[in-house]
Amino acid sequence: MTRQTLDSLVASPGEEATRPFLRLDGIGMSFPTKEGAPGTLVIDGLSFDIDEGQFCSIVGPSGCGKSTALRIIDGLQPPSTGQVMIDGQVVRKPSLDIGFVFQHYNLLPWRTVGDNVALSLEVLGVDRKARAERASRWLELVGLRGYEDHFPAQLSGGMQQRVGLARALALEPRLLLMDEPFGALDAQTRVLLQEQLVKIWESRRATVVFVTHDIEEALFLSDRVLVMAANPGRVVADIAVDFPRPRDHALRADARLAEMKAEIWDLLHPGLHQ
Amino acid sequence: MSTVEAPVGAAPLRLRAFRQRRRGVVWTRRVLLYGAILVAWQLLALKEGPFFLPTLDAIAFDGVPAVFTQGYAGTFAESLQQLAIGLVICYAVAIPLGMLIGLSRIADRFVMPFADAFFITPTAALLPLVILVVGTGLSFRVFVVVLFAFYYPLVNTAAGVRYNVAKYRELSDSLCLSGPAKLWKIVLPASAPYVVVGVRLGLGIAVQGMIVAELWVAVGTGSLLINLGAQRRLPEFFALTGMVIVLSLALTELVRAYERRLFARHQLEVRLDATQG
Repeated sequence: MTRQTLDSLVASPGEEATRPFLRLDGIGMSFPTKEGAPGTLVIDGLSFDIDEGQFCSIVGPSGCGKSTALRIIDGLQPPSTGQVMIDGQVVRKPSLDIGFVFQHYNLLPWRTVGDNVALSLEVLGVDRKARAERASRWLELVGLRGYEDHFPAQLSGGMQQRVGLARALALEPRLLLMDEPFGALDAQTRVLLQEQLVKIWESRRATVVFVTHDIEEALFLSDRVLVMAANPGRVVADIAVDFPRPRDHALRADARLAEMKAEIWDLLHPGLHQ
Repeated sequence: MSTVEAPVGAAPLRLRAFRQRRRGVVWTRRVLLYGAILVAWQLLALKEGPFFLPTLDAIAFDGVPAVFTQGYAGTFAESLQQLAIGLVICYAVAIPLGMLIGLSRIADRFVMPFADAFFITPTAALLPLVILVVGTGLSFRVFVVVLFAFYYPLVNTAAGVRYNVAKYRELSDSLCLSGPAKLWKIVLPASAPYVVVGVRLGLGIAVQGMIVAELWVAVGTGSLLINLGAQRRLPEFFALTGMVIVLSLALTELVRAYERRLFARHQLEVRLDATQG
């Protein structure tokens, strides 16, 4: 495991030639109170770079601003200070280059599974026939071939989340943001979906920022884990995860993974084991 | 990649049996309740005599045939015409206005105080003023139907649109949907169950409005009911009243059936809870 110093998370000006794909530069976020007074500082000075094709997870305690950081990266929420840059361009609003997978699926219940996936293709202006074909292709990739004409209410939670993933992937985004996508699922379904996700990612290698509470999930999926602390939200460690790919279920029994899990746990809860 | 979980819809022999049992219990309760009401009616009618309350057999064998042979049905059909015109106008105005209120805080602040004031004001108190403005013809009766029904589709549509704009904001923003696309692809379909509930509630109240308007200007079904009551032709009075109630129930049940279909798709949690139980 390689631990970077916090200063090295953002490249210095001299390193512009190897510009990172995603850069968060001094992001701060506070929500003003109802009376307009400056509110609690949720995130303070959040800075890190992510290279193209990297799978990066963010773990941290509840309320540390992980999901807020993701919304800021997507352009859904402007930061109070600092800026997000994707490929050198400052992010000011959401873009179709970015796919977002929500924790609570956010499927449209009156649309069939196929039409839910096709929604992102409608936005891209793809014609009806091509939309149906491409939606089927993405559904096949997430293991839902043959469910095109089902309604979301007819699917289990895990299947609904796979529809949400297919909808985001159908945009063929350069950056995929995933906000605790398996957080609402039972333990077994979560493990199965993690393995599906790792296979899909290894075949496509889009840049992913994955927010989770689950340390093992982060280590199993990622090339890199950013550990955040709360009050205010900030990165306290940047951990490279160099397990070889392709990864499979056997990795979960790896002693080094258990060590890394314990180390991240200690970072999240300092002093708990003393 | 294989499918790892069974779809919820594939389980349900157990669910079907459960639903059949539940339906049986519901219908048994209904038969017992309505049967008890009819028996109580008959006993009361026999005790009080036909001047105060006709027996059920008098309503069935004297009242109901009279409704169909003495031209009451034609009068009733004319009343329905004013109901239909009133409802079309009501929905055509209330639903788009509700959407506007749901979308715009300014429209909400401007329109809702007036709508709330109308709702809490006894509608009958406004009718003399309405007669002064539009007279006592068809336009009065149509106006009263609109007045009675307007609030329900307006408020339900506004609530549905407001809720779904917030619920799907992140999804529609992350997909970069334009304002009209957001409205047509997401907000309006998501709000459909709310609109249909408003339509159903408005429909039930509109039938009341239809009768109240006719009572005020002594025409149509309302006038017939006044005359039949005054002449103590109670079997016909109750047969005609029953016809109004049956029509009102039939219309609202028709809308409710559509509403159930919509809700079956929209309320994921309800169906998942039922199958997991």
